[in-house]
Amino acid sequence: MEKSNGIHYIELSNNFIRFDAVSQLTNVFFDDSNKQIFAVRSGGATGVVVKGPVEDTVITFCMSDRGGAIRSIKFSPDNQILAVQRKENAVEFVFFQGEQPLLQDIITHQVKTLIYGFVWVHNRELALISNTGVEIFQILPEKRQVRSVKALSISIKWFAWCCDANVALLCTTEGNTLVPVLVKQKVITKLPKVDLGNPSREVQESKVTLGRVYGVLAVLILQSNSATGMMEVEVHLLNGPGLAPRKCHVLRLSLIGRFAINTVDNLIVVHHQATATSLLFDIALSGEVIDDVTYHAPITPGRSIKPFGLKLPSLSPDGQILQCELYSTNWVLFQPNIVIDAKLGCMWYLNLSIEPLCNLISDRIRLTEFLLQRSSGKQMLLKVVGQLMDDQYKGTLLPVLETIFDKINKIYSSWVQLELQNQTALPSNVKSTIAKSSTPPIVLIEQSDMVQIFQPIAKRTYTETVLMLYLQSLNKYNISAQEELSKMVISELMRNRSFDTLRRLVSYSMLLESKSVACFLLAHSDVNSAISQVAIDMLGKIQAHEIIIEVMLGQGKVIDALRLAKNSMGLEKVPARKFLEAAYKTQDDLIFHSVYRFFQMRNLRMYETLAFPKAEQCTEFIQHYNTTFAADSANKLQIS
Amino acid sequence: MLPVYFGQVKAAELANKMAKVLQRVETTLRSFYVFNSSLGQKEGEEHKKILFYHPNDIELNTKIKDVGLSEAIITFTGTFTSEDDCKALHTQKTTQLFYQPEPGFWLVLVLNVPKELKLKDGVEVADYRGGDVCDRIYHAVLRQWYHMYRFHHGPLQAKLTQGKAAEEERQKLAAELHQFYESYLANIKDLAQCDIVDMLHSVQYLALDKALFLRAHNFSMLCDTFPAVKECVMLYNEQVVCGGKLIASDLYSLHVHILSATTAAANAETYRSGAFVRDENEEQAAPPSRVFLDWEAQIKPYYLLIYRALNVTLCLFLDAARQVAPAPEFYEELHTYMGPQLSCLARDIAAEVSKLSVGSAAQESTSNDSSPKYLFINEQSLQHHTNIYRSAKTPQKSIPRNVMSIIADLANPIEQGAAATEELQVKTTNDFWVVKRRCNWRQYYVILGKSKATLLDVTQEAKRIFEQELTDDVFFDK
Repeated sequence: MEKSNGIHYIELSNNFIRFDAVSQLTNVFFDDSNKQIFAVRSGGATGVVVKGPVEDTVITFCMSDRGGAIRSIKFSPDNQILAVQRKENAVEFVFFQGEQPLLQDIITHQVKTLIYGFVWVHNRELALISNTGVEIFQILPEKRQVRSVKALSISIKWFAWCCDANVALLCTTEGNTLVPVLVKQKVITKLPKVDLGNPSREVQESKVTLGRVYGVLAVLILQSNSATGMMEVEVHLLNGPGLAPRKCHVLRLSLIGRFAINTVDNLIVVHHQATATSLLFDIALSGEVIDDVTYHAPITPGRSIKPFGLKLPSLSPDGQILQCELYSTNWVLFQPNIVIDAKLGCMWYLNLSIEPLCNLISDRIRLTEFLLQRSSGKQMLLKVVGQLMDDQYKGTLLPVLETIFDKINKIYSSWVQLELQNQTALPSNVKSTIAKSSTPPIVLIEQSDMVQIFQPIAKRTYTETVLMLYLQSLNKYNISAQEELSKMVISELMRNRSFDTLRRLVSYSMLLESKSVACFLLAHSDVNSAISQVAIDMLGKIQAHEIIIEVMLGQGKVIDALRLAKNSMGLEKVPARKFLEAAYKTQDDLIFHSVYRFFQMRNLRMYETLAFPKAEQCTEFIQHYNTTFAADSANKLQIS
Repeated sequence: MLPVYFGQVKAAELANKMAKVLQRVETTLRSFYVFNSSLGQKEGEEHKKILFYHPNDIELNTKIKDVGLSEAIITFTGTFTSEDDCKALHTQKTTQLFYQPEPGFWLVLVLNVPKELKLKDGVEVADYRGGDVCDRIYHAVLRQWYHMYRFHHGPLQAKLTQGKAAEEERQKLAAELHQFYESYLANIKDLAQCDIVDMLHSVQYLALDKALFLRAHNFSMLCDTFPAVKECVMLYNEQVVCGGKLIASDLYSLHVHILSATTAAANAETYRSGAFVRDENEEQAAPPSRVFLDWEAQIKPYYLLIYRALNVTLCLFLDAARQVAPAPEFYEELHTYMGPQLSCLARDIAAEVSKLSVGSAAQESTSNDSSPKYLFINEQSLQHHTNIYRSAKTPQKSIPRNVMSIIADLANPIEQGAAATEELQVKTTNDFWVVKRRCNWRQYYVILGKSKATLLDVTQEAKRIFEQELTDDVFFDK
């Protein structure tokens, strides 16, 4: 433990559950389906305290000791029926009303076989696993009846249960094969057996752990490597219905001794008691591949679980803190991440502390891959990438950043695509799409998140390069840049006077084309006329003619604006007053004359007279025209 | 621009029009000289003003006289306008163009105007066609000659100081100018062929798919990986892929330089996996060539390394003022870093380009020689898009000189800030129509060769071409 140097990547959760420790009077049971811990005093006669899955959920009741020590005790998922096994061939069902048992209504269900265990598969259905097979029983409290619903006959040596996947792994007596069986309400499905390689190989119950990694059921088998003698964990993945479980990964422990396995956040945690360390494995990371099997080394050298100080109940304010013994022989581990110290009377969830772990993984690309799979990885990953671009920045790191951006955007794009599909699928069959809302990736880093971490590095010499790399990566995955990112790219390009790049980005439509972005460009058109051109190009692409007209009027290009207004709005809709006013403001008689004549011609066409309609309120400009071009107007008046 | 005409006889020109042309001699270079009046102030030291005179093998007295005349004209026009407003002088047989790039330094280009030998009353008469020479085109050519010198040797001003060694420095500068321009002038393009594109100094950018463009652009992150590299510019064959932050005139000079440097050593096999382009005569350890770039309004020297992988040429600029020439290890390091990446990029660009050219070839075959010509220029990027074959032998594919001159005269100077919208239609003496439009810093020209077309026909036809050809740019006034 001294080699841990204070860095721990695994910790015991603070939301632990205390219970009465195992003693002569008290027996403790744990139901990993409901995550409930049962402290049974004197066979239930002096009380049963059920806690879990959190400290505050407590059910307390008493029941009579009906002889025979309790072997197993489990609530139905709705906590309304308690199944208790006291004999090897019988299970009792105790019905509950509220939190109290109806002790007069106990059904004892007796079978002729040797019961290895039972699991609840539904509120009223229970699967019994015995030496002759698996059988589902329906319990009917109203009729006080237990009815067999489904049975699978197979001789069994031992079994393991994975409550997350509803899969029981059965070790058959014949041939020592491991057969996974899917047990659901009214259904038992036998799945293809686990291929152990050697048919004569015998696997002990204690060597097998069932877990779910990345949504796939994994059969983890501890065994020693025939060549080195070191222990390994074989990972057989149940890739899907009908597909045989396949040995996909081997975790090289490079240790010998006793091990226990948990899964935390899709990581496989292998605890080694002798060295009091826990090794972390992520099967999503790359490893050495031999014959389609990936061999993994631990992500980092093993470190111990973070020491846990248990605050004992005390009257004094500072209390007494008990340092819990880690990797104690009293520990019992349950899937996926439960640690129970029966002697201490404490149950913890194992948690990953991701921040210290990041310091242990120096390869930033591997760290990115790792964090992208962790449920709490987003903030950490943003922090890591932020640091790479900020105080840890080096020019040589750019290829690393490029790879990281690609990894992030690959996931981002798959999500964008999925959302897009859902949106487009909506009109055709509205009902089904609402029902299945797609689950987002574990770590989704969107543009807005990236912009947040780009902002602190704005206006540095290398910012343009970094942003362009990100833009390239987005483009690679067909994601278009959004407003904030576009504006940031524009600002950096302008700051570096890379007008050429800016022009080409706009012509390729790689920045968001919106009025807002175009106006942002226009606001900076004093920097260089190139920007003005690019801004108008963008406005032209999105057909925002009214803005272009305003811009041109603002620049005093009245004729240009008028020409565009005529083409985009149509002759009838061009407001005369607005253009005459702008022409008047240029103080250029030629422009004023041209604009005035244009509207006169329009009047002629629309109203068959040169005069302006009163509604257009152009009196002052008519006067200006008459005074400026006195002779000219006199002529015209005579003609008309 | 203020052309000064001396002794041009217009009436005679008209009278000779009917006579039969025996032979036409195109514009040629008569002389080119560089002088600085402040250098030879004393009597008898006039020759010191002349820093360079081409051709070299004529009498010193003639040189002094020519320079003296130029000086006189400059001073004379200076009394009417500001000093460097003197741009061109037309005489019957010559056109002189003046350019003062740096205070006191004048570059003068004297051209023999085209002449047509005609038979008039049995006598051979030379008819000088001074009007065929377009000042603006040749002024731009002259400016480019200066920029080329500056690109290689830096500004003239910096070479001369007022100290004791002034005379030595003058001689050194004269020798340098001599060395540079003698070889430069030997390789210049035929002056008669100079056209609007030469005037614009426009550089063609390679049109790429956006993903490839970003890849090519982001190759410049090399500058961050190797801090010694200040800038990099990428070319594919003759086209610019990424121009970095070089100003347009430097990019043009670089482009010209690269074309001459790489075609000289164009051996595809050498550059299959990337290699530095070196002059074959050069020793292995020789420092790389120095060039001068206008960087953030300062002209500073840079080492230029040219690296080539397949058809991609990468120009790297290293700050030469602050650091010594790079060591061979540096080349090695760059090579191992860039080689595989750049050749991979080059292959991808080549694939893209061949895909594009298949598309455009199909288009080209449909347009026949007599179809209307067009020329589009983006003033901001100096890009142009045209179907005028510049090096075409037959006049069908190109356009007559006088039309080219008209376009050159119509073209707006690039430096101007405001960009008004214009529309012009010009009919030339030989029945060509030129329709010009300008908006949003873009100039568009359509050249129609229909003699009987009415104004309405021309407008219609021009409109059709604008709509058909303007797909990439936003021309909202269609």
